[in-house]
This record gives sequence, structure tokens and C-alpha cells, in this order.
Amino acid sequence: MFEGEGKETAACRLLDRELAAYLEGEERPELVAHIGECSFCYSMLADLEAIRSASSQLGLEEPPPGIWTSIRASLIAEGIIRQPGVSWRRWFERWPNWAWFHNPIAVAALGCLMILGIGLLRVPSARVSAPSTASRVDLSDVDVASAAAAVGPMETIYHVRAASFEPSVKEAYQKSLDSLDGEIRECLHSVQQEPDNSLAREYLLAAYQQKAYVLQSALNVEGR
Amino acid sequence: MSLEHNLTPAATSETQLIARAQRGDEEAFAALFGIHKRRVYSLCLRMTGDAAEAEDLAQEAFLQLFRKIATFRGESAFSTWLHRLVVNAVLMHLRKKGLQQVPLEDTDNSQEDAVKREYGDDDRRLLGAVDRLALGRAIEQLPPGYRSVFVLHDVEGYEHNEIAQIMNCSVGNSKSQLHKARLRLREALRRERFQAEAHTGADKGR
Repeated sequence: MFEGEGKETAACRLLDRELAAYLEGEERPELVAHIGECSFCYSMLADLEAIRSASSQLGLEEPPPGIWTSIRASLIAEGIIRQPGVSWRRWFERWPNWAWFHNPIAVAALGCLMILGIGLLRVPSARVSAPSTASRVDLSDVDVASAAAAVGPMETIYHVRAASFEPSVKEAYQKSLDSLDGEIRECLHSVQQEPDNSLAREYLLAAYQQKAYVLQSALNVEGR
Repeated sequence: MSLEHNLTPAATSETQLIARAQRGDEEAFAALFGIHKRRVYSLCLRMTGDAAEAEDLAQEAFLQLFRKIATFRGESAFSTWLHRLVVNAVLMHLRKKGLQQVPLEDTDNSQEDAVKREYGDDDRRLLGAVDRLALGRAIEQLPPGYRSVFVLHDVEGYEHNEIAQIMNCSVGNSKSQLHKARLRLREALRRERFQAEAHTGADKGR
């Protein structure tokens, strides 16, 4: 089939120079004629075409399972994933440890905390109006103090569970919570200085809501 | 014009997911991640040749994507946008590591990359039988510059002018690196095949 086996010819050297262009789809009739005569150049071309063909059909690899957890934590921490409506109240309803909530003594203790919170916040008796934007939670029947009281137990459980988080996940949540605590402190200060400042109270409520959402998200994270 | 005009059902579905993600919907982010995670991770893995680096880069690329998703207006396909973002993230990472992406044009005359003529070893030619696992391993062993051009062109389907733009090199350089990468892969695959056959022969001789 092949002539001149085992000898490099001028046509072989031409192939060395022109093979790349030929594989790019350029016309090289002299090269085509040569590969019909030289087994080495024939196998070279066949191999490179086989590599090109196999490369375009390489399968896809599955990423490690923890990537989404880390991405999600960062998105929540950065506020890119926004809180759905009444999420912190849903958390209250779902969390299995809330069986004690049916205990009258426990409820009374929580009530005391709420009253204390109301005193600290100097919240007027009027209900806080719902935030005006769609992204905020409608808390028309819950005041700032009860939101603050709701966040407390979630935070306690978070600190227990966060010990088992991946370091990057824990760091992302903690960064977010620290930032929200800073906002809450600023808003509390404003509300205490100006009890009639409805905007400050609205921001305070939003900060508590966001904190509840971040905590809820963290409590849904699987440990290591 | 709305993004949802003239699109296939799958694309419409993705367009809806993008619109929901732009509003901060967690489920939409998760779904977009699920759709694209394997392609993104595979690209990172093949361009770096390292699983741990690929994981970090895939994570970073998705975070960048989701941070910018509010600015996506649908002028290009979402997958194209994402792909370009991933490639840029990987190249930036490799540059930070100080790895030369594309060898300089004046170093192209290396004899190491010339066609090796070993007449009489035709039994070691591949003849269309390329084992994909072996190919994956051989790609990982390529020098970073060759690997990037090869992965972008032969695996991901980029054109040389696009690669030249992405990697800040000439079209000719991209073509040259691709050809050298293919020659190196051929040598690596032939070597592996020869070793495997020698191993099998030794087993039969026992």
C-alpha cells in the first residue's frame, strides 16, 4: 500500500510544515497525495484527527458536593439572595425544638423578654407599619421587640450548630451576622435617641428580619 | 424587547430562572448552578489540571456570575457569558500563579515540539483508538500555555481569533500552540499505550 516505507522524504518535511494548516481546514492537495503514500505521515494525521475528535467528546466532571453550600452562604451573606416573605415566622413553625413553646412557663418567660425588649426599645403602642418595598417582610402584627426576641433563640442554636460548619461557610455567615449586628446597634441607637423616627424603626425591623433569614439559612445547612 | 421572545422552551425556562435570580430568588440561583455546574467545573479542572484549584475557581466563577447577574440583559447567550467569565477567572488565577499562558513566539522553534520521526514503530500509532481517560490524564500533563489553548479550542470549541483575544496573543501563536499541544498529546498517548501493551505482554509471558 505505501511506498518508500521508513524513509523521510521532502514530502514528509512538507507535511511537518503544513499539517497544522491542513487540520485547520485549509486546502493542501500535495499533503493529501502524500499521506496516501507514506504510512508514517498517514498514522500521524490519523492520530491527530482522533485526538481532536475524542477531545470534543470528553465527558463532564461532577464537582464536589460542598460547592453550592459555600456559594449559597456567600450569596446570603452579601444580600444577593433576598429573603422570602415571613421566613423567620416559617422557621418558628418548622423548628422541632419549639415544642417548649406550648409550655405556659416558657411562653411567660418569652413574654417577659418581649416586654423587656419593648421597654428598651421604647416602641410606641402603635403598630409598626409594614415596609413599603416588596422585598421587605410584612410584619403588620408583630412589633420590633418581638422580632428581636425571636432572633435570640435562633442565634443561640446557630452558635451551637456553627461549630460543625465548613470554615468557609461559617466565616461567610459570621461576616453577615456581624454586619447585621452593626446595623442593628446603629438603628437601636437612633430609635432610642428619636422614638418618633419611623424610618429608623423600619430599618431596625428590616435588619432583624434579615438577621432571622441569615440564621434560618444557616440552621438549614448540613454540617460536615 | 423581552428576553423571552423567540427562544426554545429550555432557553425560555433558563430565561425565567435568570429573571427570578435577578430578583434574588434562591431557588433560581440553585437551579442555574445545577444546570451549569458540571460544565464550569470541568472547564476549570481541565484548564488547571488540579481538582482543588478547580473547585475554588468554579466557586469563585459562580459567585462572580451571581453578583453580576442583575446586569445580564440577554444580548449574548447566558452560557456564553458564563463561559467567558469562567475562562477569565481561570486565566487570571494562572497569571497570579506566575504561569506563562502562551509561550513567546520566539521560543517556538523548540526541537522538543517538532514531529518525532521514529520509523518502524507504526504498531504504536493510535489509529483512532483514543482512550478518553488516558486523554484526560495527558491533557493534565500539558504545560499550562499549551493546555489552555488546547482546552479552549479542541475541548470547548473556541475559534483561534477568540482565543487570541482572550489570551492576548496572535492568532498564529494560538494555532502554533494548539498544534504543539496535539503533538505532545499524541506522544503521551502512544507512550502510555506502549507501556500498557508491554505490561500486558509481560503478564502473558509469566
